[in-house]
Amino acid sequence: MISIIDLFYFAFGIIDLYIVLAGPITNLLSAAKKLLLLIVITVSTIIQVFLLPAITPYLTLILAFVLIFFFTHRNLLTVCLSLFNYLLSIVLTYLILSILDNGFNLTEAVIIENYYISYNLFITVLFLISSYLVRQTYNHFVGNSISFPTHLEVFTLIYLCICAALFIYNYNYESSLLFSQDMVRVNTVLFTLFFFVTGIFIILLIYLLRREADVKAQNAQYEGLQQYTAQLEALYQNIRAFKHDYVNILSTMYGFMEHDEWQPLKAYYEQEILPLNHTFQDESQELAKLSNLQIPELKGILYNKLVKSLELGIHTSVEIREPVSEIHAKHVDIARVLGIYLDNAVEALNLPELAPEDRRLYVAIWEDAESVTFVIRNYCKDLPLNIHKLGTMNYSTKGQNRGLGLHIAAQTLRPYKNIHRDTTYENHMFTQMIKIFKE
Amino acid sequence: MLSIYICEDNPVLLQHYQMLIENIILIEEYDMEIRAAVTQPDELLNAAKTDSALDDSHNHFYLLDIDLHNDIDGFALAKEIRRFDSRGFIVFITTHSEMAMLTFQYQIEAMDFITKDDCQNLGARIHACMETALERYHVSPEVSMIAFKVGNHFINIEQNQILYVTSTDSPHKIKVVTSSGYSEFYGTLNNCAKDLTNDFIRCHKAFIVNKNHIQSIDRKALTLTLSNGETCIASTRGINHVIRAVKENFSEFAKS
Repeated sequence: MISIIDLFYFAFGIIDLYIVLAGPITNLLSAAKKLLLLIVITVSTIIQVFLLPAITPYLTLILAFVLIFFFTHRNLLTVCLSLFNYLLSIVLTYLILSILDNGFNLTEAVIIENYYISYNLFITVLFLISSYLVRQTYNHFVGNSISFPTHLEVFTLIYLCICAALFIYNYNYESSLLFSQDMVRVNTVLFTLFFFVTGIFIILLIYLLRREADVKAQNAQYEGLQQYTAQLEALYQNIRAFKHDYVNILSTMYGFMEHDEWQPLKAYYEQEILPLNHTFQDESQELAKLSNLQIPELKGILYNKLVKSLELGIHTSVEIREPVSEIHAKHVDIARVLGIYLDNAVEALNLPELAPEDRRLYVAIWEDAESVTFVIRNYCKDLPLNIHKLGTMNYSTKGQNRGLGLHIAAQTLRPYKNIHRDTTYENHMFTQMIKIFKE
Repeated sequence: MLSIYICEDNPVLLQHYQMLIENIILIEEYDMEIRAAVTQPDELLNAAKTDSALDDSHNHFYLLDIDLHNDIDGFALAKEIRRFDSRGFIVFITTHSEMAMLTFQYQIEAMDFITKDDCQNLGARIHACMETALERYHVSPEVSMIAFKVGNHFINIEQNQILYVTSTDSPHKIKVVTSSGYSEFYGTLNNCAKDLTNDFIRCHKAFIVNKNHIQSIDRKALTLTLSNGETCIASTRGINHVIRAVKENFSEFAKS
C-alpha cells in the first residue's frame, strides 16, 4: 500500500531530479523538449520503483542524459554540465544533512520521519539556486568562448559518470542500512572530497583551455596584421611604379603634341592611359580601406574574411570613410559576431549557381554623434526562409542541425542593451546591421 | 514643382550636367526647374535654404559631386542639407574609387549614385532619378513613425512598413516584423500598442497586426495571411476584431 507520504516523496524526487538535470541547460531546451524530458523522467522512475527497484535510479539517469544529448544537438558538454549539477546536488544534500546533524541533532532518519515537507521544500529551493548558479558560472567562464576538444569532453564525461555511479551506489547502500548516521557521515566526507577533487580538476581544465584559446586568438590577430602590412607595402610599390610611369606618359604625350600628331595621341590615350584607370580599381585595394578601422581585433577578423572573399572571386567593397577607434562593447564579442555574419555572406555568395556579377559583398562601418554602425550586405537570389526565424536553433538555409552561427551571434549580443540589430532582405540584398550606441 | 540644385567643382562638367538636365526637362515636359548650378557648396546651401524659407511646398532635388576640392565634401554638404531638408532627393555623382554606397544610403538616405566613369549612361541615369523623384513627390503620403528605445536612444520605424509586432522568448523584449526584415527591442506589447495607429489590431495575446497588410483570413484555423506570405495566429476574440476592421477598410475603399 502506498501512503501519502510515499507519494509526496515520490513527486518531490521527480521534481528535484528534473530541476537538477534541466536547470543548468534550461536555455538550450524548448518548452516541448522540457516537457518530454519531464515525462520521460516520471515514467521511467515509476517503472523502476515498481518493477526494477534494484537498478534505481540508473535507468532514469541514463535515459535522461541520452535525451539531453540528442536534444542539444549531440553536445557532450551539456550532458557533462547536467551530470555535474547532479553530483553537486548530492554533495549539497549531504552537507545540509551533516549541518542538521551536528548543529541541531537531527539525523536523516528523524528528518524523513518528521520534517519531510519543510525539508523537501528547502532542498528544492536549494537545487533551483544551485542550478542557476551553475548555469551562470558556465556561461561566464565557458560560454561560446572556449571549445573543448572531443577527447577531453569524453574523458570528463566518463570521469563524471564514474563519480555518479559511486555516489549512487553508496547512497543505495546507505538507504539499505536505513540511513544509519555513521554511514551518512562517511558518505558526506567521501562525497565532499570527491567533489572538491572534481571541482579543482574542472577549474584547471577550463583555465588551461582559456589560455590556449587566448594565445590562438592573439596569433590569428598577429598573422592577420602581418598580412595586412604586406598588402599595404605591395600597394605602396604599386603607387611608386605608377609615379614613375606617370612622368614617362606625360613626356610621351608632350612629344605627340609638339609635332601636332593628334591621331597617334588619341590612339596612345585609348591604348595606354585609359586602362590605367583600372590599375587603381584593383579590388585588393579595398583592403587598404581597413586602415580607418583602428580596433585591432575587428581589423584582424575583417581582414581575414575579406581576403577569403576576394580569393573566391567575390566583388568585395569596403566603406570606412572616417576613422573608427572605439566602440562601447567588448571587442571580441563584436569580432565574433562580424565573423559569423561575414562567413554566412561569403558562403551564400560562393554558391556555384550564382553568376559572377552577382557575387557582391558590401561592408560599411561609420561613426556618428551617437553610435558606430556596421553593415554587411550580400546578394542573395531568394530567401527561402522566414527572415525573422533566422538565428533560431536548427533553422537554416543550410539544412538540418545548422543555423548555429546566427544563434550564437544573437546570444553574444543579447546582454548588450546599447546594441541595435536589424536584419533586412530587399531587392535581392540580404543585410545585417548592428548599431552600437555610446552610453 | 521640383527645384533642382547642382554642385560640381569642375565648371566643364557642371555645364555638361546642366545641359543634360535642361534637355530632359524640355523633352519630357517635367514640372522641374534648375534653381542653382554652382561650384561652391556654400552657394548651393544658401540657394536651397532661401528657397525653402520662401516656400516649403516645393520639394528639392540635389545632384552633388562628392570630391568638391573644398573644406567640405559632398558628403558633408549632404549632411548640411539634411539639417533643413529631410525629404529632398539627393543623388551623388562620384568617381568609382570614392563610392561609398552603403554609408550614403544609410546616413544620408541618398537616392542613387552615378559614376562618372560610365559616360555613356550618365544621361540615362540622371533621367531615371528625375523620373523616380517626380513619382515619389506626387504620391508622398503622410507617414506616421513609431520610436523604439535602444539604450538611451531611439530608433524610428515607419508604421506602414510594420506587418506585425510580437512577443519573444525573452520577457520584456518584442520583435517588430516589417515588410523587409525584423528587429528586436526592449518593451512590452501593451506599451507598444499605445503608440501605434488605428491600423493595428491586437489579434492575439502575443500579436499586434497591421490590418493593411492582411491578405486573407482563415476563420476556422484562426490564422491570418500577411502580405509577405507569412501566417500569424489569432484568438477567437481577436479574429472578430480583425474581420470588423478589415470590413471597415473595405467599405471605405468602396466609397472612394
